[in-house]
Amino acid sequence: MKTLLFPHRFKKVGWAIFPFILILDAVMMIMMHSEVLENSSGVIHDILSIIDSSVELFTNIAIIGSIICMLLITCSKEEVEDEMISEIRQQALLFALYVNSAILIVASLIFYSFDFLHVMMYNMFTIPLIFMVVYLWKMWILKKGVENEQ
Amino acid sequence: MNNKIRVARAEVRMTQQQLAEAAGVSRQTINAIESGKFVPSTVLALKMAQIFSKSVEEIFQLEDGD
Repeated sequence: MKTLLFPHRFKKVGWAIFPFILILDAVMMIMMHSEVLENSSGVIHDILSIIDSSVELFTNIAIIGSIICMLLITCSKEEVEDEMISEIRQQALLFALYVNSAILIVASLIFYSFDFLHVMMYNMFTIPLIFMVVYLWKMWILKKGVENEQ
Repeated sequence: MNNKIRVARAEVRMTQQQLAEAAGVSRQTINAIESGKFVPSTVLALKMAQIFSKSVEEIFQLEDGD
């Protein structure tokens, strides 16, 4: 069966755009939840004003950029892509699915109306995010284990 | 499942990295198989046995709990 993974070189692309997307996501979330635009001054105020004036554009960049970044990092082949790495990837994905389902169930019981809509907004990203965290953590443990051996 | 990969490697003075390259997998996978953390597929087990010119049963043995 042909693989659905991206070639290895795309992993570097994912990591390259990661810091920019992370900063943009943080800025967008802060702008959404606080009065930082009104309370800031100078260069920061100018930058935030630019984002605020084209908020739909920057929202699209943040959402689409986050999704693409996470997919490229997790679903690109490793340098040596073998069966054990496939199993690790599958387990991380299953774990993310289970955790996300639990979050959804709890959220459904606690939040209603617009609060629930707010939760759904973040829920767009929780599966790929949890998948990425678990996958990278397992890969890090694996590489560390090999370094400790001969 | 038990395995005698480390012994087989020592007999021919092969490193984990060399075995990994010969079998077409990563060194982490060889390490995980040797320490019993990962069970290789049939194809990989056959490849490893072929590398050492042994049968699969000489390298991998079932344990009672399997």
